[in-house]
Amino acid sequence: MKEITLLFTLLFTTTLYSQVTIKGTITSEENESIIGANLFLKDTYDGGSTDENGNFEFVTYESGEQIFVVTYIGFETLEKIIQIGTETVEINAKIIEEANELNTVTITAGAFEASDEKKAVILTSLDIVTTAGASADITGALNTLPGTQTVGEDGRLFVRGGAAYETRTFIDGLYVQNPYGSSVPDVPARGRFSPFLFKGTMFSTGGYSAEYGQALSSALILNSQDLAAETSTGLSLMTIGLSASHTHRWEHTSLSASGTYTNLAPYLAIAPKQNIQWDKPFQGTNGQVIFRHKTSETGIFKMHADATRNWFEMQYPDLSDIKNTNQLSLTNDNYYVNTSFKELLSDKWTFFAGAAYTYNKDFIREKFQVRAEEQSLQGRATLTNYINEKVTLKFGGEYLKNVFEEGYNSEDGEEFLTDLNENYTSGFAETNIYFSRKFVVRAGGRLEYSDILNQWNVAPRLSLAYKTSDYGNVSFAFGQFYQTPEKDQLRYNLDLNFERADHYMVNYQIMKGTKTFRIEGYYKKYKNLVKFDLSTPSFSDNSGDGHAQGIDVFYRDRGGLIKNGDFWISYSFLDTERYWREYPTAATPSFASKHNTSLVYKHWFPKLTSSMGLTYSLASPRPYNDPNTNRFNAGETPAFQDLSFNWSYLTNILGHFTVLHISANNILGFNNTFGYRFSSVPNDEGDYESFAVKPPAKRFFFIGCFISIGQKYSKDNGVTSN
Amino acid sequence: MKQLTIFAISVLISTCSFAQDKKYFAAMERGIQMVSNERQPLEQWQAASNMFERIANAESDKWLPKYYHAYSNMMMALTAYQNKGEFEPYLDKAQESLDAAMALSPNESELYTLQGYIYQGRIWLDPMLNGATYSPKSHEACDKAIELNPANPRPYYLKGSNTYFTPSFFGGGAENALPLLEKADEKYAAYRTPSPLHPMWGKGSNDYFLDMAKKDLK
Repeated sequence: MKEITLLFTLLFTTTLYSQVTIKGTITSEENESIIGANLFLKDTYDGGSTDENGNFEFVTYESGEQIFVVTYIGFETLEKIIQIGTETVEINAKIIEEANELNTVTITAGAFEASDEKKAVILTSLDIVTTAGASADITGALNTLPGTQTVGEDGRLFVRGGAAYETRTFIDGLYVQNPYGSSVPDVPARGRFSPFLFKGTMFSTGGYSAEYGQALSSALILNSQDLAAETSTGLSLMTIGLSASHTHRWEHTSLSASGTYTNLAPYLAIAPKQNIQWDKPFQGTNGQVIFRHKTSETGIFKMHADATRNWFEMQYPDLSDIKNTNQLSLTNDNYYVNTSFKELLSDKWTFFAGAAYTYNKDFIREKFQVRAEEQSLQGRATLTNYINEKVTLKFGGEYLKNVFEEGYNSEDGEEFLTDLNENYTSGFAETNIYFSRKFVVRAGGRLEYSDILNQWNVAPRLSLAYKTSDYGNVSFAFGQFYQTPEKDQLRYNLDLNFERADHYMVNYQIMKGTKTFRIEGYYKKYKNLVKFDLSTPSFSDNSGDGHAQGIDVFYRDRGGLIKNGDFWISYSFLDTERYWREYPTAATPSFASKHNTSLVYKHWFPKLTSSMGLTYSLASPRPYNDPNTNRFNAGETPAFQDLSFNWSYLTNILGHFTVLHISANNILGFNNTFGYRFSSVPNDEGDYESFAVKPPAKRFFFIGCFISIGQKYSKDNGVTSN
Repeated sequence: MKQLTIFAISVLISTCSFAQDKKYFAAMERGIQMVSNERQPLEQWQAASNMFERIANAESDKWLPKYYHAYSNMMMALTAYQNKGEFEPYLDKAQESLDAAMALSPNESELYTLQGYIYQGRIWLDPMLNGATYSPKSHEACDKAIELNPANPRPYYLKGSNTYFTPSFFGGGAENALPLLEKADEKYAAYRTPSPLHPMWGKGSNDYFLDMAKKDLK
């Protein structure tokens, strides 16, 4: 009988639990009611959702200790231990919004980011390729951003009153010795690297991270693509050459090889008048291999190898008798290998290691000859420790060996040899501390040793950012930046110290929906710039100095104002002077213009499956030095103006995706002059004669056809990749 | 007596697990009722999503509740996208639940189908930028779903609708979408669900796209 009682007790207990009501309210930290939040007792069916007032109520037969769970999209899951007895349980809980790019502060001072992976960026990778006037050159596209100066005769990046050498390029963390193709004076250089190679670009106009050094003004940080998406073959036919590539994709590996041949001659044969008289127009060959391998779910090995040869012959005015020209020729060989490996060691640690090798040879002949060979080998390793949700620590070190040998033979057969051998070592540490989602501090330092100078430096960096509203952000950045003097200075004198620049900047950025607005004010103080007298360059010292200050403004709207239309406007104001190099007095350098404006517009025509781009640039006059006057750098070039256009038509040729692209620079035919060069000796009247430095051609036209074989269509299967 | 005890206990256990199963079926049926209308407002999808999340919480070894939780979030993404709202968090949530379901049942055609759908959602975020990456991925996932169960109409429907929206220079457009949508239509007509709890969606939308494609080609 006893057993039977027990039995019935057992049988009935399953249904004899008492029913208990659980009710309450779920709110956010800001006390806003959460509608539609899910709440339940863990491992049971019992639960419910919150109503339009954030209230909930459900019944349960469970008792004792239970785990009460609240989930809601975009919020952290809340788990709470509750006791269920016989009485109604009331739970009023607050749930915390998950940290994401939009609700967490970011440091925006000095940083222009182009990325495909992040949302809150100013540009996408595609923007760099589609900007009219940029000719698919990274530098060309970045020149439409504030903080840059248009220096048309040079082609390199000039940032906030800094000379071109003050901007350094890094690929996957590794310094790039020759980011631009070799060139000669007044022929603009082009970047060596195609924008298609990179998934992300960080263009820093100042105040950048302690991870990078040896750049007084700016760092261009390029992150290469991961595994290629699919197997495909590409063919490009252009008015300036041909290119073919093939990519093979395996499950965890991809390998691409490409070859390009460039020859300007066919274009020049039919093109309008050129400002350069070419004897042998520019030609180039390039071969490139890119290998990617996923070593694990989280690890990736990357290798990029590149070999280039470029050559040309042209007429250049004889600087001692500028009515005459001499033949000037250049042959450049460049080999570049970049390898890197990245892996998550645990959920708290990331490891990165990279190595790069560059060989570059320039052979320049005029009446003189220059034969310059430069090699560099570098290694870099970094560790990142995600200490907790709020604190990240990154540290690492790098080593760079650079060997430069140059032989210069003058017209009269005199020979000057330069032999520079640098061993550079550095270490850095930097921490990001999120005091809250609204306030972040990035503090770091960098220690550098230059063997060639036998000098050390320690460079502190600090950035703060505060989120002022849902969409707005204020940032402040400070940093000290050191750079070893250029080879042109070191060849005369090794008894020098690092040049230095201190940056201070304040930035406000607001990003809402399709619109971005940012404004940044900066002050940059130069110290220890190399200074010498033109007649005695080997008596140089670090007594030069200077400053640059200004305001950069940027506004962009992606399709919000104009349907299918996307535009941005940049304006930079720059006030700069320096007393350096051979300057007899402090002066604004010839690469600096006070006002720079760009207006970039892109429009997508769905019916025509075409995109059109227009870029208008305007830069105020730049100074140049006229030796016929007493005042140094007092001449002024005319203002620079350009309107460029491009059109891309997306179509299908025999089932293969094809882009037809045309572009034209300076379609309105502005007569631009970048400056003047003066004869080194006065004429009979005692005047220094000059010639104007012009773009290589008034206008440049480009037509290209890019075919991508591999995305095939089959009626049965839809779009599939073979 | 001892035998009686054993009998009673076994009855107890079987009624318990039977009760549990009944609870599961009842809850799932209620949930499936909540997702039967593909054009319902966001709040209703949210309620369905919550329901399936609770079932998944109680029945952590079953893939179907996780599947439906992912599907409800995918539909929330679609609804939010159509109303020009922010929808990426729903895609992320859908992917998270789908991954959990995949871990339980790695060779399920319906899971690959839903994966193909989520990839299409990624295209909506920025068609110009994401189309080239996610469109092939979506087709690949749907192809895998077809391979696992050739009778499943849903991967054909998704391939068809994706092709419909793909620009013609990439091999898309109504002309190329039509054969896929027609194939989906045939498969929908012949399809029998393995159980009342298995997925049944997509027929109405397929009819809609079929109609659109035919109209466009006229």
